[in-house]
Amino acid sequence: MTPGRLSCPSCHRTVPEIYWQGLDLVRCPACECEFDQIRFRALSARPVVAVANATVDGESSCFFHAQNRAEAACESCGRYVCSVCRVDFAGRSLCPACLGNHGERRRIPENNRILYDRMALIVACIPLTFIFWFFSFVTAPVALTLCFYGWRRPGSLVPRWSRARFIIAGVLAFAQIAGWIIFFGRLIFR
Amino acid sequence: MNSAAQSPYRPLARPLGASQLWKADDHLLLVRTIGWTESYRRFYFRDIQAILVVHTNRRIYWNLGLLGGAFIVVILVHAGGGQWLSDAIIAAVFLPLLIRNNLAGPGCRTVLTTAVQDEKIPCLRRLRKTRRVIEEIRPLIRGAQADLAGDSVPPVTPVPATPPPGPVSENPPPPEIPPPVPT
Repeated sequence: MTPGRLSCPSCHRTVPEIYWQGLDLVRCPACECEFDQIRFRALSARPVVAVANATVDGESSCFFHAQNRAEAACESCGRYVCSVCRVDFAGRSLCPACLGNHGERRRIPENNRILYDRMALIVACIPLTFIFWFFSFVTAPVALTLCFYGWRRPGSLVPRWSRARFIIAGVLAFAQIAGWIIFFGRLIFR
Repeated sequence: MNSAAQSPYRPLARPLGASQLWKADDHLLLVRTIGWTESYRRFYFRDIQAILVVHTNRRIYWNLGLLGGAFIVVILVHAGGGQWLSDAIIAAVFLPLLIRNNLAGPGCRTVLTTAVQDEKIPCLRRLRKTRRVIEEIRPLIRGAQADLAGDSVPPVTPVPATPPPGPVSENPPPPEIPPPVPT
């Protein structure tokens, strides 16, 4: 019996181990869906549970749990922490309080980002559709501002043509602004 | 700003689509793009428990949809008095899509399982590409989980049999050569 649990990808019900252990092609007993499975060791590995040891006379105790023996010192604030409080994060041992600090939280991998290059390109391209051409009076300066603002901002995590998008958006926005300047110039100096 | 040379990520599937899968040294990155925001999901090789692949009829449905669409367009064009040139244009639009759909191979749905989530991978919808990606990441996952105690039978180490207890003599007999262990 392994501690792992396999869910059917179609009905999301747990497939009993007897139906998938040792097989490559699994048939869900509930919905009869057949699927290939590629299993790895993590499925059957037992989860590691931190157990704190009780403190003995003369030993350092955890800052947060006085009854627990200290296992490590926080590498940010120096407090002693037990194995329950110790958080291994980005190659360092931290206490929960330091992990909540803003400075440490900045090291947590991001889950989303705003792509200013795409935003600038979309804003610059809106007036290119025929019926919205007059929007360019507003959108072109906005797109140009986004190009300048987002140029040094962090872009996508993965390699993309973000600089090229900024340049295309900037050229489009600049052309639209130039068009409006020429238009108003002709009206004024006619 | 990331450039291709500096980034730790290498593309696995759909580098230009709305949903993409990238590979780093110790994890997979699933990128979803909606408008001008990108959301990321990381799957560390050490945490991946299983990859489930369900075969689907995606290729057949696309074939039927494309043929049906082409048929409707042909009828509409001919009702309006279209000539052979219009048929050629319609074929030029639909034929490459049909060829691409059939070259991509049969369809599938891929789910990546960890201890806390079952995540559908939207960019792995064709069996051929899915198998290629799995073959690429399988050794990385196995390498990352090499020290975990799994359900696979560990290799048996031959242990020499202990000799039965007997009288201790001053001149011990010469050590016996153990028989070869069948591999």
